[in-house]
Formats: sequence, structure tokens, C-alpha cells
Amino acid sequence: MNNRLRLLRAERGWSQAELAGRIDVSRQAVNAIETGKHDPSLSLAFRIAREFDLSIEQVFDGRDA
Amino acid sequence: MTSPETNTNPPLSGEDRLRRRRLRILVVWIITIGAGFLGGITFGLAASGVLSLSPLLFWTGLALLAVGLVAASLWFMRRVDEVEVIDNLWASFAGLLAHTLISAGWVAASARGLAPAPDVISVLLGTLAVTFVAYLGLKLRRRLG
Repeated sequence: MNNRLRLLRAERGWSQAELAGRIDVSRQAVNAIETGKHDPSLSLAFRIAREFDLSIEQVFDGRDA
Repeated sequence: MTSPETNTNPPLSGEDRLRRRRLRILVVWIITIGAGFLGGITFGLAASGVLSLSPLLFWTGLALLAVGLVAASLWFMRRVDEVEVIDNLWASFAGLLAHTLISAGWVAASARGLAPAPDVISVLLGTLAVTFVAYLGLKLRRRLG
């Protein structure tokens, strides 16, 4: 699934590890989501969106990567 | 003035939280593997007659190991993220397939006189090896991106 995670993270100056710690997942999980190799569950997608103060649709566009 | 209940520590950064999370998981891993090794060595010594283990002690030790392993596994699977759960699921599935193929294949070969009688420890080690290699492959793929 396409997402703007890498861009949003870069805007805030966060490393993958920083975001991973904030949403309580491993760095590999952040990398897998960013590169479209893993589609997050609904609860994780909400957690990610909340961390950026955005809606899910503003982070994920629902189309396959 | 600050009240004694007020937390004056600055909030942890995401990277610090990630480090703590990794450390917690590592500690549980080390304890689980250490307990497994200790149990294996104890039971091995008892089986070879070096160590005397009464039946009560044997069953108590085995029950404690089983409860500890299940508790640590449940803690681990609830604490890790969904990507880790998926990797564990695939590795376990590979292990289950390997176990089925190795044991059924070996029994069939043995029944036809093509192989010696199946050995439980060899089947177990084969299963664990395939599970471990599958898990390692998945982790390597994630690390290499």
C-alpha cells in the first residue's frame, strides 16, 4: 500500500528508530511499512496517523505500492 | 515548588523507548534460552546417569520448564509487533511442514527397509533447524530491505 511515511518522517527529522519507538514497533517494521512490504493493521495505521496528527487517509492512500 | 508526585524526568525519545523495548525482549530471550540450556543439560546428565534425579524432581522440573516456556512465548508474542508475529508464523509453518515431511518420510522409508528406524531427537533437531533457517531468512530479507 502506498504511503507518505518516509516523507512525513523526514519533515519532522525523525529516524526510523525514532518513529519505531514512538509507535512501539521495531525499526524493521517501520522499514517494511515504508517500503510497502507490509500493510499495517488498522490499529497500527491509526497509531501511525495519530503520531503525525493526521488522518489515516493523509498517511496511506489505499492503493498497492 | 514541585509536588513530590510530579514527574520531573523529561519524556523519553522514540529512540530511547526503542532501546528499552529491545533490551526487555533481549533479557527475556536470554532467560528463556538459558533456562532451556540448563534444563537440557540437567535432563541430559540425569539420562546418562551422572546426575541422580528422583521421579518427583524430574516431573517438577519438566513442568516448570513447560510453564516457563509457554509464559515466555506468550509474553514475547504479545509484546512484539505484528511484523515479528508474521515472521514467527511463517517460520513456525515452515517448521511444521518440515516436521511432517521428515517424520512421515522417515517412517515410510524405514517401513520399506530404506532407512533405519526414525530417531525422535534427529526429527526434533531437523524441525528446529528448518524453523531457525526460515526465521533467519525472513529477518535477513527485512534487514537487507
